[in-house]
Amino acid sequence: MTTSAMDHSHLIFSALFPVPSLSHTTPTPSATADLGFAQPGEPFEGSFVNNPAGQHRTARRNIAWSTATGFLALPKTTSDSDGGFRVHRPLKTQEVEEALRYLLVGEGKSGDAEGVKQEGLLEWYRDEVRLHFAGAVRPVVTELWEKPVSLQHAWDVLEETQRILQQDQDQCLRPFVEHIAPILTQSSFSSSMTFNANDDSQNGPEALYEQMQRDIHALFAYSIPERRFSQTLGYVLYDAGCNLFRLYIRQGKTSETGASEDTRAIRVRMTNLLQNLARVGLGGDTAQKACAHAMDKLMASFIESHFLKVDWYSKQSIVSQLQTWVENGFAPLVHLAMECLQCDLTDQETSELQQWQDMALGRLGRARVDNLFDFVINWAKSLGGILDIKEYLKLPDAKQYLVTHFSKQISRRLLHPGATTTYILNVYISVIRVFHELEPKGVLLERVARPIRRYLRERSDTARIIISSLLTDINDAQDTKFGPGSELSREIAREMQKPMTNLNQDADEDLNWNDMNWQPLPSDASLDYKKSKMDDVIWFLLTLWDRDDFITEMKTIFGEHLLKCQDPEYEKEIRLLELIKIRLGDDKLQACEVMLRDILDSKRINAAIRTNLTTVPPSTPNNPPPHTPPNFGPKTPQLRQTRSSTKHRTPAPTSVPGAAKPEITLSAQILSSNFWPTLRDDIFKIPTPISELQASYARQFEAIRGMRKLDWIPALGDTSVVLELEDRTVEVNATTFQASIIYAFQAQPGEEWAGSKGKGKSKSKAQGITRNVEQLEEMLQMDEGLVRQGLAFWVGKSVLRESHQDTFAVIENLSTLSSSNADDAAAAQEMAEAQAQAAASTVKSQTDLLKEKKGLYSQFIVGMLTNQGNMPIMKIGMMLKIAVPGGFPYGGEELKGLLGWMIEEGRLADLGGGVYGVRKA
Amino acid sequence: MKVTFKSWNAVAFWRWDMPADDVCGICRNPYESTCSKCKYPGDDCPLLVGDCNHSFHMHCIFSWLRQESSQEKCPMCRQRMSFNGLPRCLIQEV
Ligand SMILES: [Zn+2]
Ligand SMILES: [Zn+2]
Ligand SMILES: [Zn+2]
Repeated sequence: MTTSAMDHSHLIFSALFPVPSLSHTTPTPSATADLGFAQPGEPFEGSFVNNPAGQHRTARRNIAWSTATGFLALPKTTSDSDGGFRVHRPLKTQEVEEALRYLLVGEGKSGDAEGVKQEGLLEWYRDEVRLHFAGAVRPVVTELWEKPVSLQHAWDVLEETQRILQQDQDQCLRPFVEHIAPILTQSSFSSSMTFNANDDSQNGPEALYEQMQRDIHALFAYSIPERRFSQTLGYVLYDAGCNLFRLYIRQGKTSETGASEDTRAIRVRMTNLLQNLARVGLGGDTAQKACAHAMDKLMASFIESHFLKVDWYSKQSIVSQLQTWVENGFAPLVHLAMECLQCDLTDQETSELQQWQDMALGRLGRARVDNLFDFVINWAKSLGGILDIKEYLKLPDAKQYLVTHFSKQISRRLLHPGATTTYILNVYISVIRVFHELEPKGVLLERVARPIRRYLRERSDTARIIISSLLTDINDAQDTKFGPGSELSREIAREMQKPMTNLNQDADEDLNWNDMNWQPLPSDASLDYKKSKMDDVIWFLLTLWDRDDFITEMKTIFGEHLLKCQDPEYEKEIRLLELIKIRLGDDKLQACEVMLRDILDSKRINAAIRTNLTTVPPSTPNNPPPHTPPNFGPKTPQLRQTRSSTKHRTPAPTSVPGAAKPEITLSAQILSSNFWPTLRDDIFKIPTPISELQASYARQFEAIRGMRKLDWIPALGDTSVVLELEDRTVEVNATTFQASIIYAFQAQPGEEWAGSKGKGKSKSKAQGITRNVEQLEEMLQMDEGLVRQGLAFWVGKSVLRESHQDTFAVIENLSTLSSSNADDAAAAQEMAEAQAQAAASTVKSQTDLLKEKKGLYSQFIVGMLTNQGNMPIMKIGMMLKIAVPGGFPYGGEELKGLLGWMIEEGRLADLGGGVYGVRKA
Repeated sequence: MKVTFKSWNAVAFWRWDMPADDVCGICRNPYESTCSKCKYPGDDCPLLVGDCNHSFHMHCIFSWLRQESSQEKCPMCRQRMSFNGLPRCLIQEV
């Protein structure tokens, strides 16, 4: 069979290629150019044996070669035939057919002729394709890609490239398909009996076709800069995605309208492009990576534009929406793109969807975490954002990301000297609440809160603010009380409002009576000590310190607070103590309990004694009875009044001075000395009527409580003072020392006073009683500093004015007050208020201790400034630290206070810009 | 100007009417404080003055006297402990 077929073809060949055609010049492979005449050689297999024209094989092959290559030749330059594409292929004559057959499957096929390897036609064609591409196509492609592709041309460049390559691929493969493959197919079919199958599949037409296609694709791929191609394709896919998902973020893009009808077109265009690119071999790794990259970016953009908005209104997580989008929008798009690129997607489909879901959630979550601090500040409006983060935390590594990034936000935005302690506490409380929502187990909270807790511990006013806030009634506190600079935290006060019943439940849990190993909470126990405490903000606050330290601090603040407390029932105070006992155990709280008991006891003792006292001073029968009920009563509402009360009071008694002796209600707080913090102990003489009342009170106390005596503390306490002046009556709440000072401005026996009768009005108007500082020190046995503080207070109330240096006069008539006096009064009031703040502190503070040594310091400062001239405050501070015996353990604020005081004293002058100098006399 | 006080809130420390400000010879706490067992000072944890003129927190001296080794003597002066001439068994019943 084979032999006859070969014979037949040979016959046709020789008929068509007569000998003269040997001299015909046609494209001849160089490899055959210098071959001589064939020598008689070993016979070839198959038909060669019977080949009658054997010795002329070389010549004949050359002829056939020329014919075949001439027929198959491809253009080599771009100028050839319309940009190198349209080939005017000559008609396929019988001669061509014969030549092809001869070279492909006939005796001219290939192989060794006379020991020299001859090039086969297929190999030649491959070279031809390569040469053709280099000469005719690559320049065109190169031109498209040699410069960076602008975004608006990205689609066009890719499509044009694809078109060119597709056309070229078709052009190169068509001759193979149309002219070469049929011959090979025929041959392999006919030879399938004799050649083994392996040989067949390697050299069969399909394999050859694929080989050729691979070659061409390689040529294409190498002709395009990979990076640029990948970026361009990436952009195009991103652009398509943006359009499909209605993302209008490309700069300069104006067409927001008509997007919906575009959608289908864009999908088609993208699908076509990808499929076509795959067809010319550009759908491989590079394209797939570009696609993945684009999809990633697309997701980022989409999350940014659609999902970054926190749901502030309905406070929901938007994660489920995001997941819906990934499942129904994003994943199908990616799938489509990958499918077009002919990726094998079958088995990864489901796991990839999960990956994309996680990827989307990760992106959203990280974006949310980056704003977590703002969510904390805006809690609980930010619940939606927090719930998103909560979903995100299900991903691996999310917790670590959160801890790292939130800690950075905390240290940058919260833990700096500019933040007030109140603010830090408020934020900390929000952190507790937010993290309770995020992760009820509390592990994350413990980690992120650690630096906050450390920082709060270092601040000296933290405990004071916490305890004072816990003792503040949120209901009757004005908003200003919780202002930004406030020492009170509304958040803490609000926590205190929470019903006690919850706390009692906690208590039962904590104090598990059956648990024999129960112990009071260890100090700053690891916070997961009790998971159920996670939302117990107060517990977190109370455990900021070592328990003993906290209780020491608590004792001071609680004591001070009790002395000033205005609530006759002491409800909050009782409650706070209960609350602390519940949370920290009642160990070592004795001092606080004794203080509270002292105050409550005092109330009862007052009720008992005051009834008796009222009969002591002579009173006129038509005087109204005292406000207090005669019997033991729980309420003593009139007794403790605000020092700076804004409430409208009942008008002062209108009785003529001296006509009837009005009653004075004396009440006392009787303290157990060993349990109270160190209290102010300034000594001075209080007004005689008061000391008489006190003596009487003490006697009655001793009668009630046998074996006990009272030691009065003049510096503590307060009073409601009524001043009857020539033109007005003033009622003021004052501290005892302020009251004692103004009392000393009353006319002494033998002294005239403006309001007294029998004096010419014209003279009296101008003159009230005057006292100088020295006189007052003498009269009251009072410290100079305290005298001056008290005087400033009354100047601020426009009751006194400084008539000469250090001499003060009563302003009997406001009409005599000049405007400069009014200014003085305003200034003094400001000053006095600041002082009143300081004076209000009944417990000795660091500032008080500074005051005790201020004589030493001020002496040193005056000496230094006298000798060395004016100095900035910084330098003064430094010098004090270096040169004063015992150093100067205070900061800039205290030093400023000291200098301010020295200015008040008239010893220093503030020269501006923080520079101080000695005041010239 | 005439100054009158409508009300005056004073503050005082109470103390036991004792000649010297001292501590309880048994618990070493001040008299105005409590014995080691009590929470509240004052009436809840009163003092007892012995006929030897030594005084103690009542709870302190009672638990002292309850011990065999005390032999009912004052821990300070070793005199027989009595209160206003009464033996302590009567005091306890009061
Ligand atoms: Zn004792
Ligand atoms: Zn006791
Ligand atoms: Zn004794």
